[in-house]
Amino acid sequence: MIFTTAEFAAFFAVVATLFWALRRRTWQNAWLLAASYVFYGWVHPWFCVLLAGSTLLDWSATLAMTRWPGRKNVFLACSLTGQLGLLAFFKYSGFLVDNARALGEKIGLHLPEPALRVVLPVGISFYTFQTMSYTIDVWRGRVAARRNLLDFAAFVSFFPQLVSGPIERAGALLPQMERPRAWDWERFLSAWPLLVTGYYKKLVFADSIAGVVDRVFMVREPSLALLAAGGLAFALQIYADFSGYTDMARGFAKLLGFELMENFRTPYLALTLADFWRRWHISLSTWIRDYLYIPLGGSRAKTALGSLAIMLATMGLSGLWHGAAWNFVVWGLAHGLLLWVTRRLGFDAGWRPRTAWRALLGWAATFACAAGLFTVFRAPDLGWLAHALATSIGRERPADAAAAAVIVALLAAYGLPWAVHFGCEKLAPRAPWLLAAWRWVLFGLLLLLAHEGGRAFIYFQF
Amino acid sequence: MEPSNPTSPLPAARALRRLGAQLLLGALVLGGMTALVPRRADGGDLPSERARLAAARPDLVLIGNSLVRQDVDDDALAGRLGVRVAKLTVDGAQSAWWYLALKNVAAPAEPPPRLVAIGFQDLALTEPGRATAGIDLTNVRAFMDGGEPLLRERALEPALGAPLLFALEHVRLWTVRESARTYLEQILRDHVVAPLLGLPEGGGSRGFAAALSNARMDRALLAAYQTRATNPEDDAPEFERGVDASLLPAMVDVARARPVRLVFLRMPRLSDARGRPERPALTRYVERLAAWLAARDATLIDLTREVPLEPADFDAGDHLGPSGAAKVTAHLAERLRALLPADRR
Repeated sequence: MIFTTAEFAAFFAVVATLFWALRRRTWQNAWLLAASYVFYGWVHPWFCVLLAGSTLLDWSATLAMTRWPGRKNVFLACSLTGQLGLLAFFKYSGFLVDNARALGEKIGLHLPEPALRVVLPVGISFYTFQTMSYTIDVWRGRVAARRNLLDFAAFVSFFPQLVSGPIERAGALLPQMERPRAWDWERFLSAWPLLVTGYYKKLVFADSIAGVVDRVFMVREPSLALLAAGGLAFALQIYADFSGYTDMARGFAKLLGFELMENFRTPYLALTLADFWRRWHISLSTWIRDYLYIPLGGSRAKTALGSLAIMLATMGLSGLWHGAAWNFVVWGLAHGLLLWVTRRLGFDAGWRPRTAWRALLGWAATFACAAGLFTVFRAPDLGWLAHALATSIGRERPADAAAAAVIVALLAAYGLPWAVHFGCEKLAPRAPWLLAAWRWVLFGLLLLLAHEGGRAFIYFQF
Repeated sequence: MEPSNPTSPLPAARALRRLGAQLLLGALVLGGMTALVPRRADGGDLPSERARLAAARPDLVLIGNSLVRQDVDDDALAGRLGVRVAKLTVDGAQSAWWYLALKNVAAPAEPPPRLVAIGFQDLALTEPGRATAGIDLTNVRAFMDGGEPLLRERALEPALGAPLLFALEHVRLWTVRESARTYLEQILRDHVVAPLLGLPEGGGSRGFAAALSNARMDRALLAAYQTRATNPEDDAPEFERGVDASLLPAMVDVARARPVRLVFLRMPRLSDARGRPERPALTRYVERLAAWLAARDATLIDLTREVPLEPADFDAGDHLGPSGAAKVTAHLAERLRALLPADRR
């Protein structure tokens, strides 16, 4: 089920009404669990089996860790093997088979076409990472293992954030499942701004740009201007799409009495790449930092080469998490390399420039890197990108220049109301009514410019 | 026993006052925006299109969407047949709009046209709910004459549902949203970008369309994209199952009542030109449609099969380029010559 469809609106109205009508927390959680499974299994009910399996595996593994602490490493290994095995089978088997076949062709070995293609269950990367973080935290002794299966299952499957995050930590969301919830007018009213901006970002900005981006990334030999405009458009589209989803998820969670973490903090205003990663997909970046980068040695590496290797491994895997294709890996590795280089040059997340010019330069370089690398991310494959880059230089056509200018104009037109909203938020302490009024303007523009619901969010495929 | 929900930290009375103030502000802002937004349909409105036909006094009226607009050269057709030809088309239109164009514009014209030809593809004639939301609804509403109960019963309500239809018809900002986006983008292309780049009038739109035309796409990527965009399980249902719930019988009745000779044109598809075999269920459907029409004094001209087209004859998607349009127009002239009733007007 997709947040932008009429069926979701009806579903949520029923779920929220009954949720608050049930006064006992246990009943509320049971209802939430049932609703989450309906939400997840709406198109493919068998996805629910995976979700249930993943939940049961980590629930039982963590209980076993508590029961037999001497063997907790074994139970952790079982849990990680199971979760990563699911992910490997459903997400990466096709990629591995295709690469094995391609390699075989190169050495004259003709491997048969696989008998069946595995369908990627929506959001599997999100909920496996969420349950894995719980298991690892229990193993580390940071979180107590939960006996109550209902609360735990509701935590894993909580539908507002199930398929595209934020990837919540057990320490933040599980206690909210376990404590009695109160109807809070403040929270209820604070959902409205998130929902309006979320829907605007998705249905007006991202979906208006999506069709153009799709076409640019199918052009056989785009000019450099067209490719650059397409890359810029995709960088903004993916931000609007994903942060819009997060806003909606947080808004719907608030309406049910829950608080979800912030996942984006104006990442395109970052002054360094390290700063960008502190602002972009925060729930994944912090997950990667806490469960991969630091355990691998992180910033404690003794040699420059060691720290580079750790950075590349971390970011390469982060790229692979996004999708089973080489362009995601290259995207991650390029980020890893640039992060390593910029940090060694002193441009880490805490870098504060002394002059406005330096700040502007830092921002421009960071934005160019982030947006440029999203071109690699969006390219249909590396072959297309290599060919497009090789043929793009010196092939300017008047039509391409016009198309590139139109794309930039579209970005500016659809982005302007969003930018004004951002400005109003900054002015809100002095002029709260300005922000309130502009939200209604945004709502009006949403009615006026929204695309039909139903276009899936980009991050569903991850 | 678990405790029930405790009381809220923000008193309900204060919260409701805040909510009320917000809603009042919303009413003011949205009311102001609504007053600023004009409502405009793409295909003209009923009085203007009726006046156009009254002035043109056409013998032959072509009704359809962008396929008819682009695939048939009406001037060449008029020249070949030696009759006056008028087109009633709007991009994206499907059977709901075609029905209204026939019933409320073409058939009531004085004198009535001798022949009306309606261009369609695939199952459009028996799927009346197609293209009835967004700008399409605005276009449909522009051609409605009164309540149009049959259209509501067969096309609008089944497709949209009564509550959504009510909202679409009465929340003006929502009603015009497709056209608002279309006009906004057109203004950006031709009145912002074109002057900035020193392009001639319409140069922004033309450049944009040329840069991103199908001809420049990577064939494999485009094919994969188009396959993804259509439902592979979509198969033609039995014709008889759909016809009684469609607007097709009403179209035939309207034409008979005037009387106007009614012809349906099955518009060419790129996939056929590429030699992709037609789905058997669709072949069956077309055969039954042809027989059903023949039994009611109407005719089906299957341009998909009758006109030998090459992939190079196509421009974008199923839309023909000049060479394809010339072939279709020449063939259509021959076929319509035999069908055009004598002029008794």
